[in-house]
Amino acid sequence: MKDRQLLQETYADLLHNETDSDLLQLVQDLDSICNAPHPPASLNWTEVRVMHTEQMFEKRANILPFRARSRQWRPLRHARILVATIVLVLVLVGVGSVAPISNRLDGNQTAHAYTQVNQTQQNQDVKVTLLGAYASNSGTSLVTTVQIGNERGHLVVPDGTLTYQQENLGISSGSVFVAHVSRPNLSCQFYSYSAAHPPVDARMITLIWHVDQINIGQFPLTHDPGQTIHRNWTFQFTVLFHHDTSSPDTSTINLTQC
Amino acid sequence: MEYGYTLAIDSEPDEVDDEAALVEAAKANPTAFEPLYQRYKARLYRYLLLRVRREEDAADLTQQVFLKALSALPGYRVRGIPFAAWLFRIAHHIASDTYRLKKSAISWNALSDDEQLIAEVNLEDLILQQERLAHLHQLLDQLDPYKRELLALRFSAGLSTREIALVVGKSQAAVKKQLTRTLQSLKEQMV
Repeated sequence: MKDRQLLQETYADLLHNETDSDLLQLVQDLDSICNAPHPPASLNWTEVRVMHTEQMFEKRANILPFRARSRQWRPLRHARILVATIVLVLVLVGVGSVAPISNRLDGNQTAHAYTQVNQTQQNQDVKVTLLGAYASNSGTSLVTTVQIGNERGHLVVPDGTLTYQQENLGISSGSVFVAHVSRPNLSCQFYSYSAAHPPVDARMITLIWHVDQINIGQFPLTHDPGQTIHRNWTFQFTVLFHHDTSSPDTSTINLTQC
Repeated sequence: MEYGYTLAIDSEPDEVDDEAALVEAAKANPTAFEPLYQRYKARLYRYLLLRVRREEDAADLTQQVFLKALSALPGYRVRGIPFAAWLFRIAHHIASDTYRLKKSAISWNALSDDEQLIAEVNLEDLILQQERLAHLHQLLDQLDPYKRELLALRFSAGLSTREIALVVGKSQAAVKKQLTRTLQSLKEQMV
């Protein structure tokens, strides 16, 4: 409860140096009533931030947050998408997948709203950026880009372990999809981990993704095929947990904007 | 709905500069909105609680207001205009659009615990105080929604009469007159 002097200062426009004790008491009571409630602990910035980034993703119709750097890439765009699609098929054959290929190329599915993460970790000349994530009962899909020095055109797959509350969610045969070579030096990959112990009741979850190797593609996009770089990159991030059973696979993301 | 303003009003220069810097930072990077969120969270919640009268609804609306503010932030112009007025105008519209103001009983839980922890006040005074506050709650419930909104903006949100005028779209003189009359009326009913 404010003392009288503070009350006079705070509400000088209402009290006008009044000595009316009834008015003073009323103002004091209103001050007490109106400033008494405390916001619940559930009101927190993290929730607003996550919801806002999710809205931003939805507004862009789940288009990756890339823009074409310059017109010079445009003429090669269709060729690169074709190459990326071929790479996808070959990688899925080699690595395996968690979802039927027929689902993967189905463009009619509803796009998933990934939570934007935008964390970057660098180890020597390799910079790994976790752009976003989609976590659900079926698994967690991570949108990443990797930059290796000044080299361009790599198909690079970060590989590691995904942990939730010190529990290893496990790694399925990760599916890799090269979204698009959107800018020089960067390539985009999505891959899913099957959730061994999904947090069924959580609304938001904090995940730790520890990357322990980078697999450079085995395909003609790179001039160092099959190379693996063993280093460490660690990301900790909080995302919305979607209580659906749809696989957060990458076929439901529109990649043509890359 | 556009939330930008071009009117210039008097404000404390330090407050405006401080808030202007925070707003500009948030416009460049939404994650930098957090200081503004922490600064206004409690005031916004209390204002909305007084408007919608339910804690759960007030909490939901508080988050909605901040989400809307984040989305509309690129349209906000810092030209000596209080950010508070802009933010509470969003809250004013969201509360008005979403809910009808209903008369509802306020639970005793809405009263501050401070009212119950005044150790120096004897029991009789404490009971009288609680009765007085309960009576005031009832009067607020019965109050015209616009008058209650003005009280909420002044006491819960802590806005000046100039800022309140921007929120409700009236002149500062009209706001001040209405507040004075409302207090006078309440005072007479409290006696």
